[in-house]
Amino acid sequence: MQQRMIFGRYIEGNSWVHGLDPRAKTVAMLLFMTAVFMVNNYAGVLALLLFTLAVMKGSGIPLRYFIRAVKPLMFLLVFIFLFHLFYGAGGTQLLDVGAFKLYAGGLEKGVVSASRMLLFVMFAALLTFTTVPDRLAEGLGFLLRPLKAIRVPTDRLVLMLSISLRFIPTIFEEAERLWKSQVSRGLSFQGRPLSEKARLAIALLVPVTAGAFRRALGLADSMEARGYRLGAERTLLRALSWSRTDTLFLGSFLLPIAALGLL
Amino acid sequence: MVRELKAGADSCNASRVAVRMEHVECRRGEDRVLSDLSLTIPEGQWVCIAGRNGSGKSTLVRLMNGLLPHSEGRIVIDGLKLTPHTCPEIRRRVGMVFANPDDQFVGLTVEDDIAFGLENLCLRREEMQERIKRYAERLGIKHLLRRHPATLSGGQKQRAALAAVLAMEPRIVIVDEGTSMLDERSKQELLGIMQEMRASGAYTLISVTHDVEEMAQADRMLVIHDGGIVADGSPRDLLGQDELLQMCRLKPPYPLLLSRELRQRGIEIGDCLSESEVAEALWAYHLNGYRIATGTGG
Repeated sequence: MQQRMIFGRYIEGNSWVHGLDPRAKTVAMLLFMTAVFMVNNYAGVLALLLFTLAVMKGSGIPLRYFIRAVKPLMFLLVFIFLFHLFYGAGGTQLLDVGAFKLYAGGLEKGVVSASRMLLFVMFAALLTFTTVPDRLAEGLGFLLRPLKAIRVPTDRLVLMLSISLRFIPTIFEEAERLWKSQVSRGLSFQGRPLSEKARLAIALLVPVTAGAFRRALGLADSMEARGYRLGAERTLLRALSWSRTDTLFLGSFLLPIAALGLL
Repeated sequence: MVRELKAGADSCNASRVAVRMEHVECRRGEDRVLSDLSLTIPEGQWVCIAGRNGSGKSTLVRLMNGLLPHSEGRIVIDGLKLTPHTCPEIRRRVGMVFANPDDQFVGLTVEDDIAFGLENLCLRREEMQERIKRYAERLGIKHLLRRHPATLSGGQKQRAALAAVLAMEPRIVIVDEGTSMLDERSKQELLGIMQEMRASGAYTLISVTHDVEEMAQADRMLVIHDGGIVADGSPRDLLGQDELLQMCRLKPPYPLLLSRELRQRGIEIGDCLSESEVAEALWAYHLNGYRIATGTGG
């Protein structure tokens, strides 16, 4: 189950993208999302696609990893494209087959909308592929710091996020083990009505949840035994360090936004 | 590795007391888990705690780290009386390794996990990096530092957990059923590390176990039953008492059974607790027989 899922994983590497400060990558992601939502024509899509491909190339991660990350969403991408293709109007008529009429405007809207989704997923994958989840959480913690002024416990939120990320593979592993154990005892979803499927899914969910609680208690003991106290002062092994490359990287994201403004 | 482990912790004074518990009682709701328990563990000793499930072994060691509160009595750890105020300092001095290695990893990589305790100690970054490197090397997990805990074997996980605890340089190390979920080879590896820790004299080692082989290697054995200590002595004395072992639902160690079997067949080699002791005793027996037969005995 977890082997198939590539999205959200960190892929070790020594590229300049890997070496960037997680804060730079997180803010870049926000800027990129802004750019993605600003795009509304072929030229804009092409500009963003080239920009994304350049950053992907810089990461040194093979293209097949990104394709694997996008694959599970293929159905959604095709649906978005077809929806806009058949229901979008405007521009010259391209095709007229019975009840279906295809317009250039619909085609452009379909391509742009599906591309928006594709670009967003690819860039999010790039962020997780090149950043250790712990570092990502630390970067996020730094960016959320201003919220401390309104008493938002950002340190706890970051620790919670980091621990959640740590336990994802473990809980997947446990769910898979439980699933296999139930299948070996004759469990099958095939040919069952939806309500029955939901009941069986709950039968799987209950032991997984109970296991997660048990692990949480064990983890709390382990953390306390190693001197962790809520709100107590701590130092960090890795410091977040901002370099010129981070500034340049972030600055480069203003280019597509500016270009889109002009387009 | 023994010398290296010794260098990793402060040298200790053998006359000092690591753990002193006086008339300690621990309750969970209405149930009394431990009652009127008194115990003294000198520094540098390897103490093994045995007892059947639910007898109060894990509760006892959790009291030493302040993970559970005691309702009566007095607990002094490394010269500090356990109170809510001294608990953080005591946790610096008492490291704890738990049974299930999967439940004790906080970090996303082995390196981050070792760093977790050091970050809580508010160490400088350079010192953290130095300690991570030193203890990872000593426990043979340097090549695993960047790995996610889920990708490690049981033995590797337990070595990583021990490295995380030792890097905090505690004086007392508690291993709560640390070998219970390990395969034979990993168990032997962990026992080897524990023997080296004992030999270094730098740690007081307290292990909770159901494994007679582990018990046989300790300096002292405590048997807990119904929340109290029912036997306290050397493993050689206690492991030979069948009634006591039955109370703990344990079988005598195989070398001891072999010694008894040989005795029944007229070969007296004493009560051996390990394979090497059996081999030594049989060799001595063989030489003795040879001397008698040839008239060369001295």
